[in-house]
Amino acid sequence: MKKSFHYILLCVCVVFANMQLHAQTQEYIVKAVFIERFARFIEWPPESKVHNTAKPFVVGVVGENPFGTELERLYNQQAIKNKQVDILYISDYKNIERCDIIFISKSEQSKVHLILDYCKSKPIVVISDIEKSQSMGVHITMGMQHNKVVFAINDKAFEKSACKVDYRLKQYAVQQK
Amino acid sequence: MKQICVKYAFMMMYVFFETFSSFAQEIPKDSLFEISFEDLMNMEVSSGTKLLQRAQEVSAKVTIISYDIIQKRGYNTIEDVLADIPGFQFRNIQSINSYVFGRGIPNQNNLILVLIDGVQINELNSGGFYGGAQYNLDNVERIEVIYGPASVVYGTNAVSGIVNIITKKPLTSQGVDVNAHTGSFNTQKLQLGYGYYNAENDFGIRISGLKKYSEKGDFGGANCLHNWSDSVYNFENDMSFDTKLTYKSITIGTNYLRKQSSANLYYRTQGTQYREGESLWNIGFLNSYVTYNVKPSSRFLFTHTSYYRNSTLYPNTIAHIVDTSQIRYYRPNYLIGTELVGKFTVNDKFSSIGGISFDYENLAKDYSITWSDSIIYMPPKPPKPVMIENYSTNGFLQLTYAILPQLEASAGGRFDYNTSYDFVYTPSGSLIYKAQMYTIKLLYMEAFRAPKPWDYNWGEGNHSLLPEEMHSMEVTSNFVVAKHVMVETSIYKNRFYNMFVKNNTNTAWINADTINLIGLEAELQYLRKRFQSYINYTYLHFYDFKDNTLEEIAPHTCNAGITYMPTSNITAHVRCNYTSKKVNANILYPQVDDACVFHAKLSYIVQQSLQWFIDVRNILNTEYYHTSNRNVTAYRQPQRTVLIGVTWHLL
Repeated sequence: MKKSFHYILLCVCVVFANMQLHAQTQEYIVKAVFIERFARFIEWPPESKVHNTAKPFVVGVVGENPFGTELERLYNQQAIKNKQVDILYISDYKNIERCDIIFISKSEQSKVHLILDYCKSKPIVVISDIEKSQSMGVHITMGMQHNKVVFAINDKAFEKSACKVDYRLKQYAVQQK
Repeated sequence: MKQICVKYAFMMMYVFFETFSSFAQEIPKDSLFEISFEDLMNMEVSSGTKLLQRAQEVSAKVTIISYDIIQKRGYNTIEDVLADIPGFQFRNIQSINSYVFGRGIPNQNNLILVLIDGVQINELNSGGFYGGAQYNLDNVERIEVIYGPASVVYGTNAVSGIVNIITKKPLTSQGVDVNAHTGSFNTQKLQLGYGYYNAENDFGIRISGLKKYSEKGDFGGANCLHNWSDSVYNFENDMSFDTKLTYKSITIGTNYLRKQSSANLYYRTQGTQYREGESLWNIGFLNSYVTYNVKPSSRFLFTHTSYYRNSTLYPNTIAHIVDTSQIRYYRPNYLIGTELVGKFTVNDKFSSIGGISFDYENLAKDYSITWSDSIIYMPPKPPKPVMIENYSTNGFLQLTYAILPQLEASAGGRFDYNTSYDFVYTPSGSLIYKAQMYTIKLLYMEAFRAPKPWDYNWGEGNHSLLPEEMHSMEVTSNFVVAKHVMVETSIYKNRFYNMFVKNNTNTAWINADTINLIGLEAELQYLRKRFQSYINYTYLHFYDFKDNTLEEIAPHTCNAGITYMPTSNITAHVRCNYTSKKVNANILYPQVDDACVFHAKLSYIVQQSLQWFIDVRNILNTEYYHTSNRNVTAYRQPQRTVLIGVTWHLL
């Protein structure tokens, strides 16, 4: 038994180690890049700290982090609105007010309404990839269609918000059912 | 054994080199910012980059307790966390250990699987998990509690549920953090943590250490009604140390927990011949692991973990002292294992998860014991006990098919072979309906708990013990009924076979008859920005062939709490834990009374990184007890405890 155990272990590890990895673009890398693209087409109100060049642009991830380390790696050099980017991982919702954009992860599906309470009347753009989160009041909902990332814009949410979205971004958006 | 370890080390090195070399093939991600919007939208992507976590693949009711909740509510121990959610009850021996009964099955703490970062931390010789304050909750990202049998994915011991403690990652917890408190009964805690992450190299490290001490309560003389005098002493001295090093998709981690406590209260209840001082129960748990994930194609995701586990009752343990002698214990155990778990997504509808694992365990057959014939002098260090070697090979497969976009069916099975308990097969099946505002799960799950050396050899020993088995049917649902209101319910029927009980002469474990259990859990949460509240209720009904009530378990428990934030600087939390009357296995004390215990915490943020708090536990100083098979008064539960503390985080 000892010998067979040992050989099985050896075989599994060697087979596993020889699997070839190949490059590919992952879903959350593209979603992370989209955050910067969205920001290009959104206008924050004059009183927002987005216009304060001394402060960084803060992207918050609320809930379990689906990006792994990609946000940090991508925005290590990349600016948003010509400002250095800080990534904030939020477990205490009070920290939401420090952000300019927040991404609500799927782990917070049952708490979207609560999170939106924290954003109410603040210049914060809310993005999520929770299915049908648009109907809950999220500004931009990302999804997948035929292995491509798509997004929907919630006009009503933007009307209520101090942030304004450029019509050119709407041209790329899909209509959510 | 040495030869196996050397070969094993070489294999691991080879696997690492292969993995490291493959990272060179990654595409430059910065160029993604240069491409046009159209090209970005037309880019084909593969889903899922995160580490495959088996706990999330279990079809079951799951409750998540985040670090934020732990802080706001002032949970200090793993029991604090579990006591506030549905389905858990306790027999808290104030000195040595706390027994946790998940979904109403009394046991020796070995029906719940506790994991830290996915690696089991249950004591190796008994399969039980040690309750207490040694878990470093200041270094926790979240705790996932998975209800019900989960042996298909996790094997032995995952009978009543799984408690998966996920520690903080370097990326999401950078900087220095300090948590400290002091208060009643000489209670002190200091936790220091540091996280560093380098985005350029995708390298991070997180270190956290914890030291805690508490005398926990005044159990002397008139405060309790049993054998204890005013000079009885009681303490728990805990230490914990976590390290986590991440490099790309590789994580190397170590979790060390050490719990030192007195054994006075436990032995003194058994008779006045036991002395009240100087005993020491000294146990340590060490887990080290290396894990990495690879995605060889868009449809495959693999996670490979190798681990070393050690749980040792250290040889300076003095179990008890009588007028003429002392007794000293030693029980070392370790396990080395490796597992490969893979997920294969065939298409949008069909996916599968499977895994294989191999373990080698080296366990003490029994305690090694030495005696001294003096109350003053310690016995000599116990020699290494007779060790038992076991090998186990396990494999599981779970298939999931989406019958409709919202309806998912899954079926799975697991095969376990162990040189100690032989073959066990465990099946499971589920139907899950997911809508936007609600989820309904219909589950059939089985689980088993294999006997360990502690079971086989306790007392006179019984080597014909069969594994305990649980068969469970459950309907669980989760509704967002209004904008801020969420309701969760579970109804289940469990049948527990071959339960271990002590024989009539109290000299060995034997398999008992079948126990049936019907349970109901319901929870209502109301969550607003400044006001958050919850109430949950659990009902348990047992019946065996004589329709007897099961001892130790209260049929009704209820927890409720409110968190209120009047300003952005102040957080106030009050909660209450109610347990109804329960039957006790002692003729003199046939019943344990019901109890309602209140706790509160008030926090004030001085600056963004500095917070003061006051935490009052058992505010009304309610006198309450937990069950035992001895006198009820031997199990007085914690009295009013006031803690003041500080939390500081510097980036």
